[in-house]
Amino acid sequence: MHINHPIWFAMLAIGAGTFVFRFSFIGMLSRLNVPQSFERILKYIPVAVLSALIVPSLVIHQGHPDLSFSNLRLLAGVAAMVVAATTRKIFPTLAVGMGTLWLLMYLTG
Amino acid sequence: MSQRVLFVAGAKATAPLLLGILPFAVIAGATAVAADLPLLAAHALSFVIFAGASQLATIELLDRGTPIAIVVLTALLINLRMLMYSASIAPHFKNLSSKWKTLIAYLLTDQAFALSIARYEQEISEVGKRWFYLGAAFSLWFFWQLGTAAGIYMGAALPPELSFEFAIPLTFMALLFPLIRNRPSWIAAATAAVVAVLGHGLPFNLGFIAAALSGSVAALLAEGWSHAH
Repeated sequence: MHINHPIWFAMLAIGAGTFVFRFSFIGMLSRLNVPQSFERILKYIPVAVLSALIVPSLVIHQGHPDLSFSNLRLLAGVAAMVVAATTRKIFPTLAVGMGTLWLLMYLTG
Repeated sequence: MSQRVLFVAGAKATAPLLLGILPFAVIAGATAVAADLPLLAAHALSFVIFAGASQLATIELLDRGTPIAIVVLTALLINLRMLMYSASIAPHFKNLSSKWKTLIAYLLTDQAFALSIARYEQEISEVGKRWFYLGAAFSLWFFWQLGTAAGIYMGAALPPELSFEFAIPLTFMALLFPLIRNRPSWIAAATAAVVAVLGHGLPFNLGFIAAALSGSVAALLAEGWSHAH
């Protein structure tokens, strides 16, 4: 057993800290005390979070923003976005997005 | 709907995401072995931390001989977004016992948050919310452990050129559009997108956190503006 390996201390500290983040509001928010301003502030977090997760993975290409036609993920992502906006369904979005990306990768060699 | 039906619905909802998560988990496991971590520690990372990006950063930084305090701080900054998810989803679980809240908190991930928040847009009972979340979150946890183990014992066998990780933003797209219903929510999405792109080079994923917060604030300002006119 490599009990002295530095990974163990790092792991426990990170695990504990991450759990505190995860538990924070879920654990503290009781039925007695939900200020309305709190819910108001949080209303748009899901939309903002999803957008912030999606857009950089289309636009950032090799470490930099790339809005040109050589950025295949952007092209595939825009095609998928049209499907997502019209169908609002996961599988058609996934099929068109991955399909377009693979096709473009095949065509551009 | 019964508890079991909702648990299964939650688990099934993770299917498209697994396409992106499994290869990521395999890489996390393979990287741990490549960095000469003890076998038990390679598994334990996925159980104790259970957050992919921070696990990879931890392995990478330790391998480079970074001081432990810096390693811990970096990983915690990467995981700071969990605080935001916890705050956003907490109102749905406010009446549960601390035992349930502990389990729910341990299983909280980007994907469990996104799938559940999207599902809660439709009518669903309080009990239903809990079981849908648990189905989704447990499925993600289970496949994360499975994928990590596969990476530990078999190495990274998946061809990276197939870009399966692209399945994750694609799935999030389909979850995003039903949430955009009015002008403030368009403004939230657009602001977050711009800030996330501009801030992508910032360390510790801080660009992402700035994007989520500024998107949210911009929408509130837009809301206030439209009320005033």
